[in-house]
Amino acid sequence: MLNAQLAAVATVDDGDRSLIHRAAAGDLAAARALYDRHAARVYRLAYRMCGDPDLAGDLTQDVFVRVFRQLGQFRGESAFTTWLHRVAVTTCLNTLRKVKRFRSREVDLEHAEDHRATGVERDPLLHSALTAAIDALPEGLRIALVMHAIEGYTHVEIAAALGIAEGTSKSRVFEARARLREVLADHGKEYDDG
Amino acid sequence: MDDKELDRLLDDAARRWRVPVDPPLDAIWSSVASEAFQRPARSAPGWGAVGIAAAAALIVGVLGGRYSARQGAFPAVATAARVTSLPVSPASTADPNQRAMSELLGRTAVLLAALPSDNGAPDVDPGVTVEGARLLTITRLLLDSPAGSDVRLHNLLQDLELVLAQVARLEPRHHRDEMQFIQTALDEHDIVPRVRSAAADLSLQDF
Repeated sequence: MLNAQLAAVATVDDGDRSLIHRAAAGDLAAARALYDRHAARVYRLAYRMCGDPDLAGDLTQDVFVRVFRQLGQFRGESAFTTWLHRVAVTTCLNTLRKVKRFRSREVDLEHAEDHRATGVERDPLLHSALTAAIDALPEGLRIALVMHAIEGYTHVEIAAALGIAEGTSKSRVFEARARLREVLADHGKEYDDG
Repeated sequence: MDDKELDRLLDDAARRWRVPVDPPLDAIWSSVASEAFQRPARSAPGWGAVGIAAAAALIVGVLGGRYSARQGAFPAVATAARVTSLPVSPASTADPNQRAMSELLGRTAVLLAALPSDNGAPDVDPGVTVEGARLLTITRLLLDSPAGSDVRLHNLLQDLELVLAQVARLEPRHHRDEMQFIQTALDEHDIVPRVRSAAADLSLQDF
């Protein structure tokens, strides 16, 4: 089933193939062209995940350094974008775990739920509450939600990037949405009221 | 909040939430190009490093030779590995880098075999993550040593670095997704067969 998913994605970026071969042989112009085709999307995903432009830049750099160093081993059995995004997701999650330990800047779920339960802080900025709620999601749910609902990745792409089944991706997004609905319940009324 | 409201909120978030403004892609490319395409030249061992490694190998070889001449032979139990590993010839002690590489590959093969499976797996033994962290440190040292100048071994070390970094960060519980990542990396890059093959090659070089 996963092979079928990868085959479906593979048709998307056949244009990368010649660039990959040339870049793997050390052609810097081809590597730059490959980078130009994909860097913005990788940076955007990194930025959505961490919310820090400098860190997003570092993550994007790490991802492409790893990809170009290992390009010779890329056998084309999956689409380049699938492989690239798998490296990107792994790099982002690993780095964010380290950063989280040092900075403790993410709001945990208990705090987000307290925020809803007390109803005292009627946050005029719904997006602040949304940010807190998304950051408070468990890692597996957060990455699936951000990739699907915010960045528009398909479940096939998410499944391939995370190395999970398509159904698992769907259930993670479903679960993430359920938790957001619960945490943002009070804010929804404000949103409706305008 | 119902589904429609959440859809509207998330659609709005896609347009306005953490949208990068003017990402510095050119600056990032400069760093990528210099690090990914010029690293082999920078990390190639200079004559000083080669000289030091050669001197170290010579000293170890001479001392080993004198010791074995006195003892008659290497004691059978003296080289028993602390960790059960692939066979490493005693002669490999002549090259400290090669010996370190052999030991790393042997211990890594054991570690990878000890990883829990990704479905229905028991909790991760804390010893696994500790050993993963130790091997990660050794891998990084070897990457910048003369032992890592061989292209095939260098590529293998880079792949091991990624996998061991993930092993070292495995949580005792809730590690199923992480195990899937690790297993995928192992499968995609044929890491286990490559580790065994490289360890066997290093052993054969000693004969």
